[in-house]
Amino acid sequence: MDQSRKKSGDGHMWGIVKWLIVAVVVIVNLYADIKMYANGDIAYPLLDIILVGAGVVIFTNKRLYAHRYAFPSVAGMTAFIIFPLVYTVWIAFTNYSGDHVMTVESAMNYHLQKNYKVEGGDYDFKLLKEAGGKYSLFLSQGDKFYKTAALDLMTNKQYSASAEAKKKATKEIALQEFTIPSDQDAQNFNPGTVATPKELMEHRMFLRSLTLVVPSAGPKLSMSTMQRFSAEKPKFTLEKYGHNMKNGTVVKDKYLLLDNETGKLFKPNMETGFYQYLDDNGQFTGDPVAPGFKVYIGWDNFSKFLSNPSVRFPFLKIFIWTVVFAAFTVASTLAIGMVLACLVQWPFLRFRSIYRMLLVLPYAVPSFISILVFKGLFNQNFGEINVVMKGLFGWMFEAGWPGPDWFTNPTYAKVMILLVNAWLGYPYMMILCMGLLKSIPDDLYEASAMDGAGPWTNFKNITFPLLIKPLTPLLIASFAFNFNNFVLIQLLTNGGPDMIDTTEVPAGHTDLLVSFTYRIAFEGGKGNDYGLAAAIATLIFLLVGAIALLQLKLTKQKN
Amino acid sequence: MAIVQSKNIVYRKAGAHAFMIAFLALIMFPLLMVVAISFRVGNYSVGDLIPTPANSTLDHWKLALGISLTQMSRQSGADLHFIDDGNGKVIIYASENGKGSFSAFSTSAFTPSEAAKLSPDNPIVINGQYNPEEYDASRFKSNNEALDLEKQLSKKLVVEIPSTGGQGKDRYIIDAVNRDSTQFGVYKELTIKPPFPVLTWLWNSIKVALITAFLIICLSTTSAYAFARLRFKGKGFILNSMLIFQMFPSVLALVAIYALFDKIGQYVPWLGLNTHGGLILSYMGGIALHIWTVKGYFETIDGSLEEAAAIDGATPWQAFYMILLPLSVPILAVVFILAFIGTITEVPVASVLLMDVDKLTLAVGSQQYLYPQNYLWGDFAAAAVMSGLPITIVFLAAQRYLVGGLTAGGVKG
Repeated sequence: MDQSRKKSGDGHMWGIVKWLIVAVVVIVNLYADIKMYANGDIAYPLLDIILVGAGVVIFTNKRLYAHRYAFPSVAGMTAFIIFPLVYTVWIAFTNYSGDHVMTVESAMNYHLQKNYKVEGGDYDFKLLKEAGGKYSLFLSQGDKFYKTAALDLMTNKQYSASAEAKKKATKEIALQEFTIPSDQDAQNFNPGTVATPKELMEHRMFLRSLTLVVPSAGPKLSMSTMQRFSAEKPKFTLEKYGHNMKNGTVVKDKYLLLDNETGKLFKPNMETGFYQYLDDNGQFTGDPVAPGFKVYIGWDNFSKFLSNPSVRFPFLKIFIWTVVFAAFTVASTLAIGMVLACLVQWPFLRFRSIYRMLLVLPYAVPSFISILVFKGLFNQNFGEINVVMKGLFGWMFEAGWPGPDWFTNPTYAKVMILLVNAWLGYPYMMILCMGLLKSIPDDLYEASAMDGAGPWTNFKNITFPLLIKPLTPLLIASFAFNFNNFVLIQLLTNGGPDMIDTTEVPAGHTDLLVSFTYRIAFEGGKGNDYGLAAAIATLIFLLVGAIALLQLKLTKQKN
Repeated sequence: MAIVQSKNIVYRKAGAHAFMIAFLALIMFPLLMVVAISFRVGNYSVGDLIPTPANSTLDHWKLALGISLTQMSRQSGADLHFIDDGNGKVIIYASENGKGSFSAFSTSAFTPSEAAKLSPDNPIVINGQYNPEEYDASRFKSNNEALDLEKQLSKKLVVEIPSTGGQGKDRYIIDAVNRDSTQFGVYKELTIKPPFPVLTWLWNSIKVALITAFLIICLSTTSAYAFARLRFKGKGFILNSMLIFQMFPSVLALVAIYALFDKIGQYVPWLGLNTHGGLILSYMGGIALHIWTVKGYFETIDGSLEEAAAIDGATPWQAFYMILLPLSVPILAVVFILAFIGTITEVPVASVLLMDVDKLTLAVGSQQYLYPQNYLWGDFAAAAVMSGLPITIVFLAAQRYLVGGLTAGGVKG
């Protein structure tokens, strides 16, 4: 805000500009929200209204001046952390998965686009060349003949170039009745220059998109083969206001469809997430029909952990491994880091600063690079670690020993992960301990030296107790971080080696809960079960939330 | 410390040094190893662990820098024949025994002394069809004469033939097969393209990280100012809940994040899926820790300066922008570097939001080197050293400043 704005004239101008901007923002967003809501979305327009609404109120209201400073970061947090969180919890109560991607409405629209062939509705056609690079279609059925006006055709390339081209192409074209001059033989009538099969092939995509309308309210035709246009009728019609069954009952559903071919009712089954046919009593019968849609299924995803052994078993196993992994990592990195920090701070040791810099190196190298480096080094056949292992321990085994199979043996894989994570994590603990060691007053050590205490006694009775207390909240944070250490697992083992005895979900011996969740959601093969993944994610959210609260409480105590 | 030390301190010092050196050797092994591997021939470790001058190469580095390699591959079964055309000129023809991409060719006639002028830029052009039987009759009788010519032409003769697979030309070159140059063969020039656009990935990473870090500075300082200096309702609640929400790993909400950016992209394409704008936007959620760090620093600065400014008529914004910010440059540097490194090493969100090979960040793209079916260990080592070194140096240079920021509560991945 420069000084000039304070002058009344400019201030007035500024006010107008400000309100103009606000008006534009509100109108643009409201338009987008209404459009989204019309498309059947609720969550996104709601998020947008809340954020933009709060923003407009805060930035136009002088009394909320302080909030202006905090608003952008809170808005970012709401949009990209809290909203995905709430959305994920919501998914946990649905059957959202690879087979159930769309909404009921989209599934209904999919079915409504289906056609079925009406019998006796086949028309032979010929593509005729007209003047000026145009073409026309000549159709015949029995002794009836029809012709279109001259058309501009698109080649397959032009047609598939863009969505607009496709949209432009798809249209209805009226047919005109064509009378063959009486002096001509109707059977072998030659309507004009017939286009070559190659030309027909070149324009087939465009032709397929056409709908020809037979005059005087005849059927609508579309191309069924390279020689034929056929009359097709929509397979389903929407029975929005219900349908009277033969036995007198009325079936009502917003998305109820009537099969025009068989006369049966077709209704979305809100329990399975598929459309299904109804029998005469209004009960679901027959197989579910794809595509599936998202439905609310309550606690089913959560109860899968309890009831389904092929989910429960890997889940428990992975949960235990996750806790062991996080706890062991915290303990090992803390032990290494603390010892190194004590050594590096020892005033009698020379070259301390060089040691310190080299020791921090694993922390300075970007973790995704060092993890991948380890992945290569540990490779069973080509890895350098096994070359060294063979050199060192080869004599203990028979000739041709390939070294430990780090990626296929579950125990070795776990050992490898713990080793790599200790390597990655100890510098952080060392840096923390170094900082805290400085705050321990020297006179404590002087006093203990007077009493003749050795280094072990000093560490046990002075250093450790004074370090561990301020470290506790940071250790909890480290535990929470490693509990969710997705990048390490994803880059190093990808969860493998896979557990053999699980059939419904992808699970590996080194999977942490997060990577397990990720694989359930995104790994193909066993289906993308977003609902189940979200249910596990919700459990982890609760767990992490509890840890976070604990940490907050401990941090406050410290202060 | 004025403490009388016991006599065994010498042994303890020696022990400490020995432990340090042994430990550092263990710790540095992977890092040194990967540097060595980047200079080693081939993608598999066979034989020597450390590359010797004899089996070291810069090929991996060239590929990492985006330079294509040309390699000579022996066309086995391709024989060289020299033919006297009767006018003191020579025709060469080479043939392959039927199979493979290398077919027979013959050159136009040239005098042997012209051979010295040949170079890759000045190749011999093929002469089209020929009749092997006719040539066989006038083939050089003396093997020594032919060998002489081969020696002259060695590494020089380049024959270009229109490539079998479409555009471009295949180039063939004569070179000795064995060390004492008694046998010569035909080699085909192969171009090896870099497997992945590492430099593009590095640039993407740096671009995204710089913009993200800058925006995070903007957002976190203004917010921290509000939390540290201004009074408003719900301050403590917002601060604490921010800290708790920050701990939820974004991996778990990837489905939702994907759906959100899919939706955003329908209305604002440059912020949607597969855009760097969208990725940067998604990182704007994770700034709670930075806010806490900056807020902690602001609270150590005496508020009387701003109060004095306020008395002189400064607005809160002016007090923040002209007084508080210039005083907080050290913590801004810390937050900038932490945000920069955090963004560069982020994998899950980037791997879901970005799809095109050219758009990937380094952290996402570099995984592709080590797929079992396409295992490019040597190429990866060069790319890793090349891209990891600058980030490592930045981190080490800034390390002194970072320690304070880290102890404030951040955890690096």
